[in-house]
Amino acid sequence: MRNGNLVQGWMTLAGIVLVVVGLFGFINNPLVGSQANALIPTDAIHNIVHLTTGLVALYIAFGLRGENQVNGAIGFGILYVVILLAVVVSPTLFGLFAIPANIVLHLIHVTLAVVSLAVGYMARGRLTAATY
Amino acid sequence: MPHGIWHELIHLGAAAVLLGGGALFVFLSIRAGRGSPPSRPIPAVGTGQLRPVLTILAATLSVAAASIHLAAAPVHLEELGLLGWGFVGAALFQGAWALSWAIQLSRGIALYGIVGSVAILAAWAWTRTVGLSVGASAAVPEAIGVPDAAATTFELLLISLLAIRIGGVERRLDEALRRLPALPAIALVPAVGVVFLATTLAVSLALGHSHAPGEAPDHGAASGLAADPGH
Repeated sequence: MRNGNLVQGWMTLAGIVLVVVGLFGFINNPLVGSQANALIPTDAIHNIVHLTTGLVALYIAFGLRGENQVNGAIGFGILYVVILLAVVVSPTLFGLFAIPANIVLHLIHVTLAVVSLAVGYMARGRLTAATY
Repeated sequence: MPHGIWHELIHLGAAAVLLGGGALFVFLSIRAGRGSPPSRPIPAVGTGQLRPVLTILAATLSVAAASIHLAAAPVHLEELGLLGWGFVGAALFQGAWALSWAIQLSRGIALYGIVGSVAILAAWAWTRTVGLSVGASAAVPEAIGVPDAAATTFELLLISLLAIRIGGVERRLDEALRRLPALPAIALVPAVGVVFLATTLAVSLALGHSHAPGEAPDHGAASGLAADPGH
């Protein structure tokens, strides 16, 4: 697999997972939703954050190329470091989320941050080397 | 089945996919790196990456402040009547300015942005120090809340970015960043992301949709943060 393909592959996977998790919260069903008797009481804002960051990841995967794509992936990793720190400090993101973040959600944030930074950084090194 | 279990399962599934996929992509990246020649430092040349990044950031800040003003408008229209339309006016100005800025990057539009933002900031400062002459709390300075603090921060940052553009500081900053040419491009995603999250929080508080820690989403309860949406 080539440089760009690895970054594109990871950002695609991250984007799809985030979009699916975000969309699942909006689907009107007895398991997940905002209705009073739903098994999973999701809140719309939390879903919007997942959905938006997922769309950003998909934009980086398919809307950017070359160095811009690599920089976007590193930026995405930094964004998730910020989100991770904010959610660790305040599990409801300062009252924004109805459901406080748990260890699994922290694990998702850590993975998104670390892998985006690692894949982006290694691809950047190869891009620099390929210039010469 | 208890409420929390399905929620946990969704996040657990997402975590498993991301962990497995992430490990695979890191492994493939390491393997791809072994076949490449050693990397060398990027040459010290002007980057030119700062200009588009600052342009996007300025438009984002204006749209974010407009969203907060729009979210705060209904409460203020009810409380202040005609004066409350100032929030709608501010939101329209900031939204229209962002669109104009995206279409044409001119010194004139930058100046309009600075003058408009300073006027909005002055109105906000007046309400926080002297107080309005109408409404339930006439002549009493309002408290600073999260939504107006966020909008004010965005407006101050916008003025700073536009001053950098007009004052010719941008070129010098671009030169200063030549040893880190990718920094502006890398910083764009987290910067826009943080503005987006702060705006979501501020709009949510302005609309009264925030939740105290652990609270059910009943859309009517008090938040742990000050929710004063006013300017």
